Amino acid sequence: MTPIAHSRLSPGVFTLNGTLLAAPSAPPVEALRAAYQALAMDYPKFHKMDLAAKLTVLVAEPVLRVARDRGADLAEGTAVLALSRSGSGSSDVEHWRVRQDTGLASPAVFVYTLPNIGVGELTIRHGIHGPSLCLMTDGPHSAESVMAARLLRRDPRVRWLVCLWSDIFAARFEAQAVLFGPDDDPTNQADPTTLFPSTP
Amino acid sequence: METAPRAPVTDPILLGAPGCVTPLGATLEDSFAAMHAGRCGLRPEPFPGSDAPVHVGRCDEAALTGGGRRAQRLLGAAVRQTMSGLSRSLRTLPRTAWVLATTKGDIRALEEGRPEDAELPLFAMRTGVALGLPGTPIVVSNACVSGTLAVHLAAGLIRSGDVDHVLVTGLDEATDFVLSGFHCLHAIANGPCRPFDDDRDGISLGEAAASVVLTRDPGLFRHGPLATYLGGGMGNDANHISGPSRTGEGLVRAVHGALADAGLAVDAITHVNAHGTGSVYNDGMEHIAFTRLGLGHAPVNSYKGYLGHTLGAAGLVEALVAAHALRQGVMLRSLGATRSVTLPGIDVLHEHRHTQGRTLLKTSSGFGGCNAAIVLRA
Repeated sequence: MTPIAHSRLSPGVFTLNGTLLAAPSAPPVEALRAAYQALAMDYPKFHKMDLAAKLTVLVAEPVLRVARDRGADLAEGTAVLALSRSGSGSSDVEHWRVRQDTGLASPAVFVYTLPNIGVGELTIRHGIHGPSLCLMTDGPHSAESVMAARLLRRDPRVRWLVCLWSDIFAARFEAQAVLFGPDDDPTNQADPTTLFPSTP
Repeated sequence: METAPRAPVTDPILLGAPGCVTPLGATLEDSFAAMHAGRCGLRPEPFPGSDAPVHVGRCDEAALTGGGRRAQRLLGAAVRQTMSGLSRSLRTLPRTAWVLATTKGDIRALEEGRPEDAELPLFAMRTGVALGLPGTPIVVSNACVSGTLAVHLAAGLIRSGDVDHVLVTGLDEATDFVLSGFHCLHAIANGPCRPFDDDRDGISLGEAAASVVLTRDPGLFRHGPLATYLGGGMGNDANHISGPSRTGEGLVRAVHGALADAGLAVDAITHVNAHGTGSVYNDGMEHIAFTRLGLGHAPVNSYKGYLGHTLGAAGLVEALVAAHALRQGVMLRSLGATRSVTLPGIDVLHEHRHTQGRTLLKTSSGFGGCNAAIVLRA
């Protein structure tokens, strides 16, 4: 099944359904700022997030706008499946650096040292109360993630499903988001081991 | 590879062959016995950067088995108990998945200067090798709901027909990484944590590993099943990444989902093993949620006064202990809670109590605003 919407955010590429939204170049800090500006977002909380949470929120924004345009009630009927390789790795390193350097720790850093915090920020931004599941995977493609997506869809309250892949550590970053609607089975008939299209 | 007839899809999903390593014991039975005797696994220890000691639940090093990293030996000790409780080899059992619930895995690797080795997918792959298990686990890292959510995910994989059996494991260590983090949030209790007590003042951290198999095949368990899985649910607060909801909205939704999934009315719940961290706001949030849900009839406890908050392992460890306790005919007191008059309308267990039924609601809530609930019949 082809998803309703597919976004991709990586060095030089920020697309929605293959259409270029921005061409954010590395490093990640500047790239994510450029992506934020390209979306014309006005969300002050964004600036307090760590890079992993920013990446999650940014890549999901275009597909959730599509969902809203199609009348989705994001609060009541949306589930989120997040796959990540690095998880909170960047904030983990920063938290430990502060601990080593000062003997103390920073609350503002520590609260981002969990892989699901980006999804938490996403649910806050869009008021999503539905189920969410965060899995750590080596890449975006795995049969287990498709099984997990089907599990989320079996909740009778869920009509819209957002699936995310993200990886951000040091200079590397990459993320994708796909949106499935009420009538879509997230199983990709051509390749049952992935939720994500092979092309932008 | 062994083969066996598949159980009909209408058969119930069972949990069995539990394995546990906790601050109070090297097995589920030992941990329960210590808890039943009223022992607390939290011990004071000096904490760098603080004048006051902190209470932490540490596992006995002698309980850790096998080779590899400490986290792998901790998990391995629990998994080996599960293996010994199965009638067939987990290593060759067909159509079997493995789920690992953890928040930080081998975070010691980062503390030792090797952050790449702390990445959870790599840790999971290496753990499979270290434990001699086929394949790589599905890693659930959903903050403190990970263990509860892993059980729900495992049951879903069996229901969908994707697999017939699932090994569910949970693990987290109490290292300086997490201790310093919660300390900087001023979240650590001054003494052992006191969940659901009027004077609770914070959490205590602990470490643990747990393991169990979900299947429809009762013949897989050498000593019979521990519990039957009835249903599960999830919900998000959409409120704050580190502060509990003021309305309990996500937890209410998770429990509603679990009850609907189980086909039960709230009256059918006979015992609630809550998240109960001992923080003022978490336990207050749960009080609001349980009141909204009409759970005032069901005795409530938390095990964190015994074991500490074992993070990603907590939901699984606590579900196994609670199910085991119900099979022994007892609901354990919520250690540390002596007075709960500020939490009216819920029935906090201040003493052990004989069971009136065996339908358990296990709930968990975590950073990011996530909540999970499962219903088991012990």
